[in-house]
Amino acid sequence: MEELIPKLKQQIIEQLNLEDMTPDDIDEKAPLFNEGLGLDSIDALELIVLLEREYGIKMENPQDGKKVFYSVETLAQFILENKK
Amino acid sequence: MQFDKDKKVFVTGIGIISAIGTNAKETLSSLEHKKHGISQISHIKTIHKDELKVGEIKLTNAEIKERLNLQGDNTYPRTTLLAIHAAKEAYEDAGLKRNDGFKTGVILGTTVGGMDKSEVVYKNIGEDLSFIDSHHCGYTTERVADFLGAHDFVSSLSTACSSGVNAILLGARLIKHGILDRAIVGGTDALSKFTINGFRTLMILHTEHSCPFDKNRKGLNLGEGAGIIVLESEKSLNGKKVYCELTGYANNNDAFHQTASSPDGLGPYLSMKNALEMSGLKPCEIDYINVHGTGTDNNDVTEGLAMIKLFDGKVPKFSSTKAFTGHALGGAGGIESVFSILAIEHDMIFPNLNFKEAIPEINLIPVTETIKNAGVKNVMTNSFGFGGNDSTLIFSKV
Amino acid sequence: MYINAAIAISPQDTFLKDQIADEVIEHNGIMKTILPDFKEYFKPIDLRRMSRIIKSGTTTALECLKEAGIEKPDAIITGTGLGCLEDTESFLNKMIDNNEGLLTPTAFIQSTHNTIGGHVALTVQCNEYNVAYVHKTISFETALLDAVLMLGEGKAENILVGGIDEMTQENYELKKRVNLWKKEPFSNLNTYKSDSEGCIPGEGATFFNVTKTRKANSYAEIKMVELVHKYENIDDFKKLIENRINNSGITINDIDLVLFGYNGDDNGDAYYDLLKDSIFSKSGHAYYKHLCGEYDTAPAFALWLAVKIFKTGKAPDNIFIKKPEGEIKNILIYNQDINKNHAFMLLSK
Repeated sequence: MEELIPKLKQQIIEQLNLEDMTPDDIDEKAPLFNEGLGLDSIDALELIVLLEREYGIKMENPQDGKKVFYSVETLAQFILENKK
Repeated sequence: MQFDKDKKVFVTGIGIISAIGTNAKETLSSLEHKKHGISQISHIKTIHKDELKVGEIKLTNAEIKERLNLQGDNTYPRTTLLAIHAAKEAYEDAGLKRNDGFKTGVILGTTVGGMDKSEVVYKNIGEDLSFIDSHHCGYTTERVADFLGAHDFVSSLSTACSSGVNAILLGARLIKHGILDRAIVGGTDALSKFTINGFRTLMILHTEHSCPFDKNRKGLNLGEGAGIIVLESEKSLNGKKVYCELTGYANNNDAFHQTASSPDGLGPYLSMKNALEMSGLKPCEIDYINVHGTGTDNNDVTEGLAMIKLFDGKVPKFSSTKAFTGHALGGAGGIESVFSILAIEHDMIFPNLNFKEAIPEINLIPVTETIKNAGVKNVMTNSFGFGGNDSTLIFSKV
Repeated sequence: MYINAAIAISPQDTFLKDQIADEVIEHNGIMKTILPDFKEYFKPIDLRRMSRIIKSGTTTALECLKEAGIEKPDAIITGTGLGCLEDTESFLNKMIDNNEGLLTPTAFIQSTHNTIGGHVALTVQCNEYNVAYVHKTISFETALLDAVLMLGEGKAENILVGGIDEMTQENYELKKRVNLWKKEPFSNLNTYKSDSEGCIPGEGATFFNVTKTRKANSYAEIKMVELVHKYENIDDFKKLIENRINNSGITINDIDLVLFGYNGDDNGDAYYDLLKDSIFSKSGHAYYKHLCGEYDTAPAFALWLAVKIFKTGKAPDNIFIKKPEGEIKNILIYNQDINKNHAFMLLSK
């Protein structure tokens, strides 16, 4: 988990093209969407592809993303539970 | 150039090609008898072939060219071929002749343009470089204008899935300003690997036959086709048959998100409201709405909410015909305008296929069986697109 | 119709500037736009999905509203030949290279031609009319004509009209195959010099604010926007254009300067000569594509230039083929695409 979080932050920054952001700018406990980092439904779709490409996890229903993508921490938890 | 708000704009010709027919007659029969055109992909080489269903026109490009008697070794994109096919039908239906002294223009909407051709050769460019010129969206409009010999105004627009309706809107306005006497207008788009993959990344493609306005809707089926109509002012009519009058139109922007609709459907509400105001009709005078109704989670709820708000809960009979044709993107507005005109002409309301249970948030039930002698005098049709683009037309019996 | 604000991002130093320096900025190869620092305009999180053209288009639109002193226009109308080309190519390439696997939606969404118009609407929360015209070299003029219609309909009082196109290396290489460009190496300083085929690729983002009524800050009045798809007989064409100009409130003899779309390609330039040496022979003559390059919405840049000539009362010497005597009060902009899609914009100070 401790290794995964900074790596995941970097991957999110790259996948979503968050120019000028560093992993330290993202609070792993803070919400990624709306009032948090400010991501939206299109970013969720980008993250779904990231999950598949980097961790081999397929998410068929975008609705499932709501819980999983709540924060970097919840996402990391989900990856650890589902990684193949 | 003088704008005349009260100048009437009539529909005198219709042309259509989609998954449910290659002309208006076949189309009407399919709609009436609930014969949909959703099938597996056969013309496009894609790895998603077996996991998706689309509204594909079964004619090959070569067959369409043969039908159009197009000479030579031209390699028009499919988007262009579909447009010429529909435009020819509309032109002949309206009984138009070249160089008859009336100012005639062509305005079309498309999103795919020549992509269906470009994407095949893009990474493996051979001797045929014609795709470079045929790629841009204006190419199709120019080929249609050349085919019909209608050059008094030739232009194109692209506002994603509302393109076809917005082309009709501009045509009507050019007539009201006296710039044109008649306008050949509508939308066209072919299926392409580009749009199939694009919509797939949005995860809004249903793997089975779509079910618009149903509680368990899971997305849309892509489609293809062209719907083109002839608009004319009174000046050039000369006593000929008129299908109906275009009495209202509006375009508004949802200004909420690039792809998603606002939670209360503000943009759709505004375009319907403004078109209705322009027509001078009371809400209760709308007999049928051919809704945008893509069958996505987001669209159907917000479009439903907008209708409930505009009609104060008394929503007219409505149906989405996208389960017949698939969503033909820039072609959809043209195709569904033709459906709306057919509804008036044949006094019929077409069914919304695959509906079982109402969406709880809106509790609206579409028309599910063909209604004949439906008393259809005024029809509203909606087309919404990316970038918050929302358009509505109203056609009225003359 | 009056123009109250004009903002251009172009291959010259034009952004938030009132005139072009006499010295032309040289580009060897594609004439790329000179970009402002977009971080002043957008939060990093908002920049994540914005390609170069979206940033340029949105920024010019926002600055245009600012110059006009307007928060929200009554309509947003754009023109673009190929839209967000970089995003379109990006999605197309990934789709082919990855054999349709692991694609993401962003580039696809941005590839639609109304992306910038929609983005501006979203930014300023404008729920009104919003359309994108996409007809090659008349994309911008169709947008401007739509604005004329809309003001005439009384449905809007002030409108944002823009022309946006970007050039990519990939598109440049593609069109090299059909000999669209001059033979390398080329420089915009030599746009018209040698007898040669092909033109020089450029790009730009230009926005205008137009209103029905004259404002204290109005720079120019648009007298006419005329589109002629093609003509069969040159004499009829000349007569038609002469009639339209004479019906616009001024006569053809009042035109002080004609800004021609000469791009250095002999194939197309000959068609400008036909009007330059006949119905426009008495006016001053100028060209502008050595400043912005050739692209579908280059006439929007010409309109910007004309507006700035009115505003400052000065014109850079490098544009003149034949410099008019006296003050420039009426300018006609004429663009065509090898004898197709003839477009005229007539404006008065």
